[in-house]
Amino acid sequence: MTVSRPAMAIYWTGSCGGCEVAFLNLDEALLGIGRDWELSFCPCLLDTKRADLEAMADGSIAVTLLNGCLRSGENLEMARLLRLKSRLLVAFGSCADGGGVPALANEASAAQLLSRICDTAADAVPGQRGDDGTFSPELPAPSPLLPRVHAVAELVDVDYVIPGCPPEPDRLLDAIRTLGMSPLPPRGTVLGCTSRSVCDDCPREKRNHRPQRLVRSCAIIPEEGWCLLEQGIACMGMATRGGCGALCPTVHAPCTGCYGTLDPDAVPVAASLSALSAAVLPDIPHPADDRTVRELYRAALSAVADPLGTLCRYDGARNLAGGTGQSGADRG
Amino acid sequence: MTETHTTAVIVCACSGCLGEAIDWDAVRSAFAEHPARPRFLFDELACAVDNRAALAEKLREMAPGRVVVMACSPRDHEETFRQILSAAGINPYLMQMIPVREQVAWVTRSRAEATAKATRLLRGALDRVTIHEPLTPRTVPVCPEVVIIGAGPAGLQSARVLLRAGRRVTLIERAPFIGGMAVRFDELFPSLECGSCLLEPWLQEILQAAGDGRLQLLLQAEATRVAGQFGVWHLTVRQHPRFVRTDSCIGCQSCVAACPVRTADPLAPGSDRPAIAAPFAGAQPGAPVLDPASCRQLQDGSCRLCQEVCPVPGTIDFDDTVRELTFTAGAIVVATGAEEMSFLPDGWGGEEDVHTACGFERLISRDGHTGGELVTAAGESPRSLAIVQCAGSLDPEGTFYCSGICCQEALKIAGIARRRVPELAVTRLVREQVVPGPAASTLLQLDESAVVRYGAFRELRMVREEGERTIRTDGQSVPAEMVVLCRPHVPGPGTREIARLFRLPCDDDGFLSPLHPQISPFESARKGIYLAGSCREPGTIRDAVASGSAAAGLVLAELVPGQELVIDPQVAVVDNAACSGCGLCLTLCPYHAISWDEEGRVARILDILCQGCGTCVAACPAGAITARGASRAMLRAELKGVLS
Repeated sequence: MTVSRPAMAIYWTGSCGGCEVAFLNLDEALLGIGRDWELSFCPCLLDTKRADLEAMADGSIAVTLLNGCLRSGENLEMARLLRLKSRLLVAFGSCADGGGVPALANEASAAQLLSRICDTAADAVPGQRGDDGTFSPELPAPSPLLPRVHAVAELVDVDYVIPGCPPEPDRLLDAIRTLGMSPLPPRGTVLGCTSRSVCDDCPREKRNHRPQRLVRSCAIIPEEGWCLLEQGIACMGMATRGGCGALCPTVHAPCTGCYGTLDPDAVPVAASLSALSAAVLPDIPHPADDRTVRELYRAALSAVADPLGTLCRYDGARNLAGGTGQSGADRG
Repeated sequence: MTETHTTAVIVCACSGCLGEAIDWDAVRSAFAEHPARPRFLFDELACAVDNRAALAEKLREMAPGRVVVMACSPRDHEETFRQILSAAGINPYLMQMIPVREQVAWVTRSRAEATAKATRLLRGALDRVTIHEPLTPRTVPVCPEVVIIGAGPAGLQSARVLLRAGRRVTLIERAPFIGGMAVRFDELFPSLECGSCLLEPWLQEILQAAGDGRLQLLLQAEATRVAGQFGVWHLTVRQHPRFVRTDSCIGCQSCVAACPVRTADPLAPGSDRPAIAAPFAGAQPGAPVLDPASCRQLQDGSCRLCQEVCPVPGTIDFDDTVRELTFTAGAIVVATGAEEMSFLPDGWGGEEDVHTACGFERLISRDGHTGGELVTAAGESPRSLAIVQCAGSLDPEGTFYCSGICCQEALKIAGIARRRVPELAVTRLVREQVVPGPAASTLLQLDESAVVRYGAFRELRMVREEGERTIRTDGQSVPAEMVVLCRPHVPGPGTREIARLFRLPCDDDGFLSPLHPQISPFESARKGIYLAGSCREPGTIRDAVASGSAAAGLVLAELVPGQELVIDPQVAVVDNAACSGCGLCLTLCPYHAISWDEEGRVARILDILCQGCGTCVAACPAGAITARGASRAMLRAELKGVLS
């Protein structure tokens, strides 16, 4: 008697492919996944096409791991199609969860981006812009851009989230096992991470020190074993969901926050900014008026050369601060 | 069916202030269907003492589950309404107050606008108050002990008054002796009494109390950390080593005579002193102080002469170290004093025979290097002395204020100098003169100095004319072989540090601001911290003693042993399961209420220290800290209500 395995799909919208690599990095565990699941649609790994997906019955895929943000009309169509065909849709990786690195482009409108790529960038080829506002046929853009980058959950119902850029393979395996079990966790649960911050896993020691100001990470060689933030490096570990095992800070690289904002209630930029402000202690005279305090804090944080890329590198789709007027209007 | 699912909405019209400004019928009808089931209670003036009991009775009958108050402002009357709720048998924290007077009636342009805004705010409050939880304050007994910072005349007098009332006192002094500035001067205004003789009985009284344990005397000590509130201050003090035990030293000075080192004396310019010595003649306690920077034993272990001659074994202790002490007190008296600005301005500094007033007094002090004789740097008897008053004061670009005591100082110095050198030509250069009171006026009448008025200190020039030094002003030449500049009195470094450490408001010049300059001059803006002496403003010894008595009196009246302190339950609390131990909050808390729980590797907040400011709540990147009584859920519900 043949026991039919539940079907799984993995698809990329606006993403770099790192999430697929993370999946392949499961190594031997892939054999177990192959035993328990049938990979029915995954253009990156299998010769499956959109037509194959369209031919499937609605709800016939048990779980779809959808990685990537929604940047183009085609991204959105595929996300909707996958939603139709899948019983569970998982936002897989930082781009699907919060827009990821592509959502940093929300600082500019789609028209500004196209103009830069086609007209003003150093390597732009004049005359390649298509008539309909898209790239010309030589440049691979099959559909018009959406006005801004969206996280998947903004436009399509999402059941679960697996964060990370990319998600760590061990954590991904845990999450896939969870998705195959019954009962399922409550809808909306963030899988493959811990409920505490990266600091909880970080081997570096806290000494309750607040630096007078932040420094750029290229400006100092951090002391071994001592918290990077306390040494003035803008490490976002304290505001970031744990689960990665503190890989970056362990090897002297500040956490950039890829597992997403820890505080579920927080507005991403505000959470990171208040955490960073709390970490520094400028030399404030007494008494000092508000303006002086503000200026001193501004100076203390001035080593953050790229505020958005530091404070909100992966959650740009959810960011309420800054951005174009257009994207603000989209969010209502 | 009880009414516990209803919400009472108390509208207080603030004596008609709010009745007309807002269309209350419209507000009421907007909430006819609201699930919180608001029931409106209108009152003309709920805060009036006569009306409180009636309102409480109405609430008791109605027995609502929650209460919203639409009235003046929480700052004015939140506590009043909490008490009314308590009297009605309702938990006082099941209440949300909307400041409709200050945020609606006073700031809107039309009745329609006011009504719309009041409606929005009420919707927010109703949505929020439904998730309020009952809270119960806890009580702790107050600590009746008192800390006094600064052992000058003000601090000493506070200590004496408190000791007489049977209070245990801790007296913290930065210097190695007690008595402050007063005991360092030979002749005090106005009657030229010797400072250390005048205060000697007080010093003995304090040392006696320290000896029998009623007073803890911490010399060479400074507060480094303070946390808490009225009734329960937690202090940390750092005490530097004296290397000589004050409790066993008999003051024989054998060690001083034996010490082979000579080092510059910080209190007597031009003189030197051994590495082990009393700071000045008559300093109390009489035990000498060892200067670690110049002592050979502490530098390279090469000399133990003082220890060898000391008749009381164990008194000189080279192993003495910096100590950290922590203790609790119910009240703090700050008496950290002021000092004369010690630097000389451009054009005056670096010149021979130019002194500040205090520097000049030290120069002619009987234990100074001239033995009290007034001589120039060249060692000769001076022929002329110019005393420049207001030297830097009353200057919009420098010290704008009048210190109020320098004129008296100038009169005193003029008199002393003339007695030391009878032929001396003394001139006082005066911008303004402030000599109130009979004692000062007597000195003024007896003063034989020439008086020259000048316009601005900046225009005074020191020049040499025919070999004589003079000060030129408005074409006049004032002979000035010796010059004394009466510099402004400014807060001492101790005062500035205390202001920062205790987060006490101070004025632009660094003097600690009283709660109110006229009616609460000896209370700081923080309850439980009192101000005495010239940390508030420059003053005489008489002012210092008066304010020391006043501060002690306030402590005795307000900090009563056996009194219970109610701890507000609206504090920040840590959810141990969500705390990641990132430690961000630990150094952030302005009240030092957060400590590290090593076992659970989480932050821990002490409710008696927490003031509920919310700083840690905002900073916690894990959302693990909740402000009880203002949780994220409550704020979100309120915002949603206001914006919907």
